Amino acid sequence: MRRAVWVLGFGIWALGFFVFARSADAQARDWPSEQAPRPLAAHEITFPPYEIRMLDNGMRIVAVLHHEQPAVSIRLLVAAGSAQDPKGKGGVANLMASLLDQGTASRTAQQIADQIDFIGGDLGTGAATDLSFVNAVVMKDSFQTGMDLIADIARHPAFAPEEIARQKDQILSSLRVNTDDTGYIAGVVFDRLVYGFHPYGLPGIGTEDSLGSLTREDLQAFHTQYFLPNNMILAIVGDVTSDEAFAAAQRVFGDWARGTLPPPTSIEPPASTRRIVIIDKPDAVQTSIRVGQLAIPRKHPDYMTWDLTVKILGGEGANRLHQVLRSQYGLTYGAEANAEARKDAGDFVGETETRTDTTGQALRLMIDEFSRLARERVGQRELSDAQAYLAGSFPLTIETPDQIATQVLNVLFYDLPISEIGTFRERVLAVTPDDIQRVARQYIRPDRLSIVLVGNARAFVSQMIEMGFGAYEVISADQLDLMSPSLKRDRKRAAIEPFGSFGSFSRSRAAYSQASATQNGQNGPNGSNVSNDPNDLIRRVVQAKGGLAALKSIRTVIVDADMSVMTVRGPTIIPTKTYVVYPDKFRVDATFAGQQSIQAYNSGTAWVKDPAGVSAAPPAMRNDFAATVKRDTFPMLIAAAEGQLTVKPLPEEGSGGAVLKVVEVSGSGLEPVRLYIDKDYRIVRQTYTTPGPDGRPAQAEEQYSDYRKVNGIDVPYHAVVLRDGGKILERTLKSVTFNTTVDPTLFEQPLR
Amino acid sequence: MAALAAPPSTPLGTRLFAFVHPPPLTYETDMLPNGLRVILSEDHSTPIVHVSVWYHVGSRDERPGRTGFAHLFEHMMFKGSKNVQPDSHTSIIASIGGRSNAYTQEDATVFWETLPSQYLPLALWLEADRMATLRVDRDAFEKEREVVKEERRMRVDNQPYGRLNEILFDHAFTTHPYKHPTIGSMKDLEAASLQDVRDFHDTYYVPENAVVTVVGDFDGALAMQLLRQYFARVPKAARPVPRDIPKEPEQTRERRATVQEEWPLPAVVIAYHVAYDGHPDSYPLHLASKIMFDGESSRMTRDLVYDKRFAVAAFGSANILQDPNLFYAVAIVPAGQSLPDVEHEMLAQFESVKTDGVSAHELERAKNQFMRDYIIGRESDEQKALHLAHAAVIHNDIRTADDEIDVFLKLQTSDVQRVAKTYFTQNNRTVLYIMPKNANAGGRR
Repeated sequence: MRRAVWVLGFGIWALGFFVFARSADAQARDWPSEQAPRPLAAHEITFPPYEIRMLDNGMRIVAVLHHEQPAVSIRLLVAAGSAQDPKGKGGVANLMASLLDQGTASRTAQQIADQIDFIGGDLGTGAATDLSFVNAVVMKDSFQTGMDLIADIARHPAFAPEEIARQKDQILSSLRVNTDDTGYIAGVVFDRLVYGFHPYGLPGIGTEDSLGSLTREDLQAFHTQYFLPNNMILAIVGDVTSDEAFAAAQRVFGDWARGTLPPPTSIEPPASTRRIVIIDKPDAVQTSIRVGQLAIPRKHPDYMTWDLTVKILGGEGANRLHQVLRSQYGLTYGAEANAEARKDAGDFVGETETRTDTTGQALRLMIDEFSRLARERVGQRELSDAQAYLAGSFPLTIETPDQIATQVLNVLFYDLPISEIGTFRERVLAVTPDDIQRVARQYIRPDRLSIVLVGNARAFVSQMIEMGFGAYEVISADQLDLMSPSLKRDRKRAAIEPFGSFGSFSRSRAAYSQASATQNGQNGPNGSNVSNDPNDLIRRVVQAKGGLAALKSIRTVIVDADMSVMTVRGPTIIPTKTYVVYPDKFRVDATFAGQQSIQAYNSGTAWVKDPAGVSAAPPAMRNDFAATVKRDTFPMLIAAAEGQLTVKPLPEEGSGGAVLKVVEVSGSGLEPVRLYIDKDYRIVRQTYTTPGPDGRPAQAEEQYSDYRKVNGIDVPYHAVVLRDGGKILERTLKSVTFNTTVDPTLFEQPLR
Repeated sequence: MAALAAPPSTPLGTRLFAFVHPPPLTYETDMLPNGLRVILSEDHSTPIVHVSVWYHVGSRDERPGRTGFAHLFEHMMFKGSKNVQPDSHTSIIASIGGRSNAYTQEDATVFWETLPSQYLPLALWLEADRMATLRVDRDAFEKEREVVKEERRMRVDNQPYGRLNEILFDHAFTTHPYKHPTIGSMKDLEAASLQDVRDFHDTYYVPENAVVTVVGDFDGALAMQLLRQYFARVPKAARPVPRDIPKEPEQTRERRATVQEEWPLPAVVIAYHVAYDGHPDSYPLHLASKIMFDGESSRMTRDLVYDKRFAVAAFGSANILQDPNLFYAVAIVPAGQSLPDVEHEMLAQFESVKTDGVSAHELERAKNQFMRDYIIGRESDEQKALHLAHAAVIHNDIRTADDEIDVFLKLQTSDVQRVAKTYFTQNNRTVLYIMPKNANAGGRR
């Protein structure tokens, strides 16, 4: 009774509220406020009947009996897929499998198609990473015909040359279509980053080059080596009796002799390292994002806990990524995370697609969720919801005959205890928040994530900078080469830098160069005669700047500056602090999006800190830092003045009514830098070539102005940085100090 | 081997139909006083239940300037109702081990849940709550509109060949709303207002415009009682559901166009206007579609892809909808082939069905394939609900869910040839060449 009064009271209050808020909506007004109804009594869940037997030749047969519809599904699974492609023969398993139903010793491709289509059947062959398959669905009274076809296809493929040519053409066309698909590109590049040159890292479909090299002998060799009855599982599912199923299997496969499988040759996947790769596809309107790293294989004691952990991050029944990216911010149609657990190894990957102008934000939100899961204990309630989904949805996964077969095949294929099917719910519900925290900490390493973004790079790289991700590589989609360590096609032309293939690190370069910019220029001797000797010109520039002795006396520089970066929302101001210790240490600290970011170079090694944590800089970035140190105006002018560099005169150039003298400085590991010198012997501009956002050489230009004296040294307080003529940032110095003591540990890579 | 390989053609052929026939669907129907139709079909093989709510409204009911609205509105149905918090519908269902989603088509919008059977009351209660009392919140609406725009980018704009349908229907139709895609245009999505959302709910999301179907492991009497309890209190609509959908005038001349797209390989598309769903001609058109496109031995695939290698893929369909739509064929053309040659070959295939007809063997194959689709398309509760609801909503006659089988089995080769002659005519045709924008696309990897 008391409860009824309370409900009534609540109802009146709610009524008033709704009248106020939506007076037009009579429906809502009259509709009761109430709680969701309680469930009915639960019905018992029983796993449908199935039987497993083995033929004498080692082939395992699973029969699942299901008599509702008069159809039978036949699935032959071979435990070899693209992971078994021999080195340099990428795509063999896929091409071989695509040819299985394109002709046998006794049937042409057309006869096979005629036969399966006529009986109202369906036939499919293919290869995945760890397996190949031949599947058929036939009506009940065509069961024997279906079995004959499957056996013929699996045992006696013809691999006729004209069919090989046809299938190769088809696959090449698919490759071409795939390269237009940002999601596909993101997936293959992600696998390549996570697994390196482990077979899981290479595209199962092959590459244009590898496909071209495949021969009929390669296909036959793969088939002979792996298509053995003792390497197969056959599932017969549907409207048959188990006796019919096993007798048919014995009839079509019983006389096939077992064979010896080649020893596994797999290599270990590399340890997780941080790498951010942007694939530039200028016509994309959305960016495909993939974030993740190496985790565990399917047959691993942590698998159940780990799967639940990843489901909390981005699976059905929980999905923090979806909650944040879609529900909270409206950035995407969907976001998810999956534990991809395969035979040899596994990974986990978070993925989403978002429009170009929200790319940086979406990536940042994803990384934050990865970090949060590794950092914070999951609440019991959130875990319970995820468990309730996984355990509760089990009956939904055993509804149709093929679903039932999949459950059994998984257990057999991954060599798991068959009892796992019966204990699924109990195992799900046994996981605790402590278990989740343990595996999350063990397998999620935010500082070692592989990150791939495929989209219109030019339009979103500034967001990367804004969101704190400086250490990235940009590769043009048409330069992508998964078989190259750099992921880029080798260029025939001389490479700009040894690795020849990496993108721009515009933020690091720009931030660092604000320190070098402090050493430019000084008031020159007014009205003196201008010599045409380039070395004389350099001496005058050095003199104007403060003199060789003064320049050589500088050991450290500390600069506070504001950097203005162009973003989609207009210029954003980022405060920075730069430390330089000569000859070869620097560090740039920046604060944006509320978080500290660091890039540092320490006598040949380099590291970065961004929202995902601290990591070693990739080799290309390290080389880029080294080049920046060489290009520093300070040591460059000293070296030039002391004859250690080549100084080449170039024709004078006019600029805004003034005439600028131009010299090109190079040598001793320094790529050519052009200096533009005004009548006061100040450097007002310098240009050089650098790998651009797409990895191709870009023209870099820095313009200096607002020179001011600091301890007798002439320092430009304002600079504009351009790439290929477009302004990418401006910087304004706030303070400059020389020769203050700088703590040397600042340059050492911290643990976190 | 050869003896076993022989297809069971003539001797088994006729027996096949008599022997392998899907069991008829068993169901009960009812109508509540507010006009809501309900369909119940019990299947106790697995302890789960599937609930679907079909609203008879889709992009077919949209007007120029308001395209994409039915689908945008479908998203809004997840933004909460009087007793359900925004975005919690899906998580409530998930937290008891269920799945739920929705989709919008040209003719209808479908909301569904599949869940452990003891939670049937929850699914019905949730659906009734949002049918009666949708929350309409500006902030949620604007955010959801961005989500739908992302969906369009993902499915259409950023997908190779994603705009194929949009291009085809835009060229083939002049007047009927089938001219525009269900996802709508970015411009119209931007123009949609909060008032549109309210009006749409009041107009179309009413009991007399909906069909609730429940299939699975439940007690029929109890389910009917629950349906009445939760849905009978949803008020009747204030006015009849409008059905003033503009008719497509008969096409009197062939339409041709060349379009440029950011596609990796060019395509040739040929389409003919055809009859509506349920029209006697629609059945032989379905069989013609099977003969031309279903399986590697189908005419179009064998000729264009296998024999002549004019196409890397050739596909098509009789797109039979509530109002007359299209029978279309698409060839994706590899580098180096001439599009007029490909078009000529495709047209020859259509002509051949008209002039030479189809063989008895082809007809039998098509019927067997059709039976296969029937049988393996009725394995799950969700699939059964789909067939029942489709018959009730689109045909307005639930008996067609089972009876159509006999219609198909009675068809003759002459029926297929007759509809080919009726519809595959030059004046009724649209021919499109879709060229990659990038001139050297053919040379790209």
